[in-house]
Amino acid sequence: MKIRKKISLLLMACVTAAGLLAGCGLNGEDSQKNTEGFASTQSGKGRFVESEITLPENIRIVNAVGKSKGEELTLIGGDGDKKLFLAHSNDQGKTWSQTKLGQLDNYVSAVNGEDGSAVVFGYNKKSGMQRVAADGKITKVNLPLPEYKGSGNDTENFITSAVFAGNKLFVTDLNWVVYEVNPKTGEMREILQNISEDVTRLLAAGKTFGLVTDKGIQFVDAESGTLAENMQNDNVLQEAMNKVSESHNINSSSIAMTMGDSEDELYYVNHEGLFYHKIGGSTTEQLMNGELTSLGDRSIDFQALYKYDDKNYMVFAVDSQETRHCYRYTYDAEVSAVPENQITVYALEDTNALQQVITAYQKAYPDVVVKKTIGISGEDGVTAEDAVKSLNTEMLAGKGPDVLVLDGLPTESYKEKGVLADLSSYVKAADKKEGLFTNITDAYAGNGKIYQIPVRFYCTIVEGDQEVTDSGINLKDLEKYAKTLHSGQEKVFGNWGPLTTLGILYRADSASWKTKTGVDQEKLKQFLETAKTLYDADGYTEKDRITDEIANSFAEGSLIGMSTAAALFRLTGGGQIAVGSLTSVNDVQQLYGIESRYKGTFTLFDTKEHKAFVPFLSLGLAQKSADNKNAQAFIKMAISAKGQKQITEGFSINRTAFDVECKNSQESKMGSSASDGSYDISYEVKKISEKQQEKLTKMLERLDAPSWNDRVVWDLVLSEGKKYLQGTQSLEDTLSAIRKKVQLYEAE
Amino acid sequence: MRRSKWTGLSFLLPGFCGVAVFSLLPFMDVIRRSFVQAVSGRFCGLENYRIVLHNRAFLLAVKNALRFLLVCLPLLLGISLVLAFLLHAWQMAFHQKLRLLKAAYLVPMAIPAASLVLLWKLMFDKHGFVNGILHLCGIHAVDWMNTGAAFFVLVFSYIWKNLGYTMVLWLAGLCSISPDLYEAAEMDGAGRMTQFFKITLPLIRPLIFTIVVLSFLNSFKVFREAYLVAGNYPQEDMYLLQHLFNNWFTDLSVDKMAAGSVLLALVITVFVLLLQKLWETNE
Amino acid sequence: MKKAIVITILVLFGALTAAPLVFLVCGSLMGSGELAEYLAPVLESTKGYARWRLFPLYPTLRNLVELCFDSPEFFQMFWNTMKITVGILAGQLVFGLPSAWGLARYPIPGKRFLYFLYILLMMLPFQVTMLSQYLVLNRLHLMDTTWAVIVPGVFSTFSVFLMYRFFCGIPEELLEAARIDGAGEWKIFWAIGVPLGSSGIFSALVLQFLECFSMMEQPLVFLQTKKLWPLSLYLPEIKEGQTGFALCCSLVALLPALCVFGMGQQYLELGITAAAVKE
Repeated sequence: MKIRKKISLLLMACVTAAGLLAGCGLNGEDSQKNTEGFASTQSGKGRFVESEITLPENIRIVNAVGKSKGEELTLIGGDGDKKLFLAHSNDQGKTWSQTKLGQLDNYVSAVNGEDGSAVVFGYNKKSGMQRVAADGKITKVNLPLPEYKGSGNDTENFITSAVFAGNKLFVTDLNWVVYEVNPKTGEMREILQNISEDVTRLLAAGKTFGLVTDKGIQFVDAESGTLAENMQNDNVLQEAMNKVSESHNINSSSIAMTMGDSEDELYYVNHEGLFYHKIGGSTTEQLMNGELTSLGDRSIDFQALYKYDDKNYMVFAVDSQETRHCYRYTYDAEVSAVPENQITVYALEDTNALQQVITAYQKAYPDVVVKKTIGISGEDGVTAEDAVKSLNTEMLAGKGPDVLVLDGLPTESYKEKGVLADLSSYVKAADKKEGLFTNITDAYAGNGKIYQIPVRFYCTIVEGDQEVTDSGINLKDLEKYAKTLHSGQEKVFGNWGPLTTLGILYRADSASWKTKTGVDQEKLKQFLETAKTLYDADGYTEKDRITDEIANSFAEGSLIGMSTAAALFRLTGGGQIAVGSLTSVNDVQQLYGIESRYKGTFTLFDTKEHKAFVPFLSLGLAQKSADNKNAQAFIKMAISAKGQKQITEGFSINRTAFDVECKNSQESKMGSSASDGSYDISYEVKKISEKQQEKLTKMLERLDAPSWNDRVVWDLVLSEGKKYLQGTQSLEDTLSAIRKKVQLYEAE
Repeated sequence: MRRSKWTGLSFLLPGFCGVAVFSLLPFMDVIRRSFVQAVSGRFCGLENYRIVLHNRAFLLAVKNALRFLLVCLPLLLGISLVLAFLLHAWQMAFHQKLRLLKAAYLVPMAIPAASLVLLWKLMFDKHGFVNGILHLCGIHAVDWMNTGAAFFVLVFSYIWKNLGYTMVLWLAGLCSISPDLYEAAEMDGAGRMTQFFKITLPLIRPLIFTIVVLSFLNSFKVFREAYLVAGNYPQEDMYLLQHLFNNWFTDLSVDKMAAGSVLLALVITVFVLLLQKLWETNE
Repeated sequence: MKKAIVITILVLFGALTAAPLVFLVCGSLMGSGELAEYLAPVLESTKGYARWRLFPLYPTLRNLVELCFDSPEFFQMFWNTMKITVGILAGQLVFGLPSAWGLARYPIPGKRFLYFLYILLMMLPFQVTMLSQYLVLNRLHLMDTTWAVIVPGVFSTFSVFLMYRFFCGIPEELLEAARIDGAGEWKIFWAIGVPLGSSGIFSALVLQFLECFSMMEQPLVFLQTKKLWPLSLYLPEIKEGQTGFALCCSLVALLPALCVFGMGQQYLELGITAAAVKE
C-alpha cells in the first residue's frame, strides 16, 4: 500500500511538472505570436527607401552636424588636411553653401543647429575654444579648463566630447566631468556632480543629451542641466542601449538618436534599423529594418540622426574607409513592405567583408531580402564542427542556404556530393567585363568547372635585406637564413607564439603537402624543422612571446596584417627576417612605408612547386538554388567591382576593384612605440605608385595554388606542432601523430 | 474486460506509437538512406556498403570496437562477479549490509561524463597523476593519450564507470539464491568451486543475458569520454565507430554513415539473438 | 586472515572507484594558486608530475561563491537540465510503464519480435539515427525547443526494457487471483503490477535520471539556442585557467544525480528481478 502511495505521489508530481512544461511551451507560442504580429504589420505595402545625399564638396570628414527647427542643416567638417569648412543647407541636403574656415586646431566640434553656428575644441588645453558664427566668423574664446587629475602629470587636459542640446553647449573632458559652457564667454559650469560613473561620450538627442558611461546610458535634460527623470527608469530603453553596448565597444558610435516633436518621443538608429520609442512605454517600434539598407554594415559608425517628419529621416555615418555618408530614408507607400524574395547566405564566421557584400547587394536589389546565417556566433559555445553538422542537416532537410561562404566548410566533400553548382560561367562573364585574377580562379578549376570563387585572397611574403629576398624563398632557404643570421647578436625572427609561427608557415607551405592518402612526410618534416628553427632562433621564453590569437579562428582571415607586424619587428630590431601574410593594399602601403626607413624588400614565399594564396570569403552557390536569379545575382555582385567597393580585407579577385583600391589608397602617418619606451618610430604611408602597383599585380599573378585550406588538417598540424615547438614532443612523434590522424581523416 | 490481445495492445500502443515515430521511423529512414546517394537521393544499390566495407577508417573503427568489447566485457563481468561474490559471502557471513561500500562502487555511475573530462585530462596527461604514481614506483612514464596506451584509458574508464552497477546486478542474483541450497551442497561434500559452478552459475544464468546486454549498451557510452578528452581524431586505438559516424556526418557523407549504421545494427542483431539462444532458452 | 584479504580487496576497489569524487570535492575547495602549483606539470608543461593533496592546505569557498553569484548561466542550464529530466521521467511513467507491462504480461502478436526490436533500438548508438531523428523533429517543428530533447527521451526503449524484466518476475498466479476477484486489467496493473514492480520502476527512473544528467549528444544536435542547453554542455566549455572553478562546477553538477542516486540506491540494489520473486 505504502509503495502505491509513493507512486501515485510520483505520478502526481510528474503531472504537475508536465503542466509546468506545457506552460513553458505556451510561453514559447506567445512569443511566436508576437513575431507573427510584427510580421503582419510589415506585410502589405509601404517601407522606408534609402537614398544617399551628396555631401558638400571639399568635405571629406564631417565633425559635427546639427539641424534647426527651420529644417536648416549645418555641418562642420574638413578636407582631411586640417582645413575646416562650415556648410549650410536649406533643402534637406540637396544643395550646400559653405564657408572656408582655414586651418583650425580641431579635435572635437559641435554644431548648434538652432542658429547654424559651431564651436571647435583643440587637442590641448591651450588651444581653448573657437566659436564659429553662422557666417563663418571665428572668435577665440578662453576656456578655464581645470588640470588633468589622473596620474601622469604631464598629460594635458582637453575636451573629449561636445554637444549642443536645446541651444546650450555641453562638454566633457579627460576628467570625465560634464560642464555646461557658455559659447560666448567660455564660462564653465560643472553639472551633474553626483554622477558616479565615468562619462566617456556625450550623445546629442534634441533637447536632451545622452551620457554614455561605462555602465550604460543616462539622459540629461538640457533645460535644467539635471538628469531627465522620466528617462531614468525606462527599462525598454536601457535594454536597447545595453544591447548596443554588449555587442559593440561602448566607445564606438553604434547608435545615434534624436528626440521627436514632443518631449517623450525618442528615435534611435543602429545596425538593426530605425526605432521609435515612447519614453516610459513598454515597447519600441521598429520603423525600418536596417539589414535591408546600408545601416546593416556592421563596420559603419553613426554620427547623427535627424527627423524631418514621419516620412523623412536622415542618418550621418562613417564607413570602414573613413568616408562620410549621409543617408536619407523616405517612406514609400508603393513598394512592398517586406521584399517578396529572400535568399539565405551562410557563413561559418561573420566577417565585415561578407556584410559589406550583402550591403552592396541589398542596395542594388532592394526587393530581395538577404538573410545572413552565421554558424559560429561566438557568443555560444558552438564549435565549428557542431555548426557544420547543423548546416548539413538543414541542407539534407532541403532548407539549406542559397549561397555558402565556404571558408572552413568541408568544400571538397560538398563538391563531390553535388551540393555546389558550377560557377565557371560567372567567372568568364566577370573576367570579360572587369577582369579577374584568373590565376586564382583557375586554381579551383577542374574539368572546366569551378565550384568556389574566393572573393578576396591573400598571400605570404618574406621580407628582409636585399640578399635574403632576392629570389623566391622556401622553407629550406628560411631555415638556412635563420641559422646564418643567428651567428650575429641581432634577433632573427621575433617572438611569435608557437601557433602563430606554425600558422604563418602553414599558410605559406601547405599547398603541396597533400598526397593521395594523407600528408607528404618529407615536406611536413621540413615544415616542422623550419618552424622549430625560427621559433627557437632568438631563445625567447614562453612568457616573452606574443599571445597566440590565430588559433581561435580558421575561417576568418586570421593572419591579417601579419607581414606589417613582422616588418615592424625588423624595423625595431626585433628580427632580421619577416614572414607573414600580405593581406591588403593597405598592408602593402604600410610595408613600403616601413621599408622606406631601412634597406629591405619583400618577395613571395615560393615552395618551388607552388606559390600559395589563401582564399578569403570563398563563395559557393547551392545546386538547389542554381536557377535562383537572386542567388545568381549575389554571386555576380560579390565578384564585381561594385560589390567589393567597401571591403578592405584581402586583395580583390576583381582587377577593376583592385585598381580602384590602389588608386584610392590614402596617405597617412603611422607610428609605433614600445610600452617600455625601448623604441618609438614613425613612418610615412604613401599612396601606391603606378610602379608599385605594377609590381604588386605581377606578384599576385604568380600565385597558383590555394594553401591546404582544410579546417581539420589545420587544427591537427597546429595542435601537434605546438607540442613539438614547445619541446614536449619529439619530431618523430609529432610527425607520426600528424600522419596517422591525417591518414585517418583522408580515409574516412 | 476479458484478457485478450487487445488488452495487451492497449497497454503497449501509446508508448509504441512514440517509439515508432521517434526511433523506428528514423531507423527505417537510415536503412533507406543506406541504399541511396547522400544528397541527390539516387538509388545506388549496395554501392554504399561496398564503399564502407573497403573504407580503412571503418575497418579500423570496427577492429577497435571488437577489441574493446572482447577485452572489456569479460573483464567487467569477471571482476564484477568476483567482487559480488566476495561481497555476498561477506554479507552472508557477518550479516552486514556494507551500504557505504556499495555506494562507493556505484558512485561513478552518477558522475556525468562532462565532469570527468578535466579529471581524465589531469590523470592521463604525460605529466599527470598516473604517471606520477608510476614514477614513484620506478616505472617509466607512459604517454597515455598519444600511444597505444590510449586504448587502456578507454578500458579503464569503462570498467570504472560500470563496475558498480554490474556488481550490484550480480549481487541481487546471488542474493536470490536460497542459502539452503548451499547448505545442502556442503552436506554432500561439495567444495566452494563446485558449489559455484554447479549451483550459482546455473541459477543466475538468465541474469547473464540482461547483464551482457546492459554492459554492451554501456560500452557505446564510453565514446563520450573519449570524445571530450581527445576530440574528433584521437589516437588510433581510441578511434570508435561513433567518431567515424560523427566525422562522416560533418563531411555530409550520410550515405556511408547509413550503410555503416545498418551494418552495426546487423551485428547487434546477431549478437543479441545469439545471447538469447545461449541464455534465455529456459525463460 | 582470509577475512582481511577479502575486505582489503573490497575496500581497495571501492576506494579506487570513489576516488574521483573525493578529488572533485577537495579540488573545489582549493584556491587557484594552490591548484596551479600542484597541476603546473599538466597545465603549463613544466617538469615533474602533477601532485595532489587529500586536504587543501588553504581551503576556500571562493569557487563556490563565484559559481553561486557570478555564473547566472550555470543556473539557467541547471534548470534546463531539470526541465528535461522531469519531462523525460514523467513521460516514461505515462508511456513507458504501461508499455512494459503490456509487453511483459499479455499475449501480443509478434511479442518476441517486438521485444527484440526494443532491445535493438535501445542498443543503437545515438549517432546512427541522429540525422533521421533530426529530420523527424524538424518536421514536427520541435527542433530547437526543449521538447526536441524530451520527446525522444520519453520514448527511449531503455526503461521499458528494464521495467519489462521486473514485470516478468511477478508470478502469474497473483494476477489470476485478482482476475477471479473481478478486477479489471487496468486495476490489476495499478494495484498489483505497479506496487510489485516498484523497485524496477524506481531503478529504471534512477538510471534514466543519471542518463539525463550526462546527456550530451542529443542537446548538442537538437538545440541550437544556448539558452536551452542543459548543464552537461556547460562544463566542457569552461576555459583553461579556471581549474578550481571547473572542478566546483563539476561537483555541483553531479550533486543532484548523487542525491537521487542516494535515495534510489536501494532500488538499484534489487537488481533486475521483481521484489516479489524473492521467496
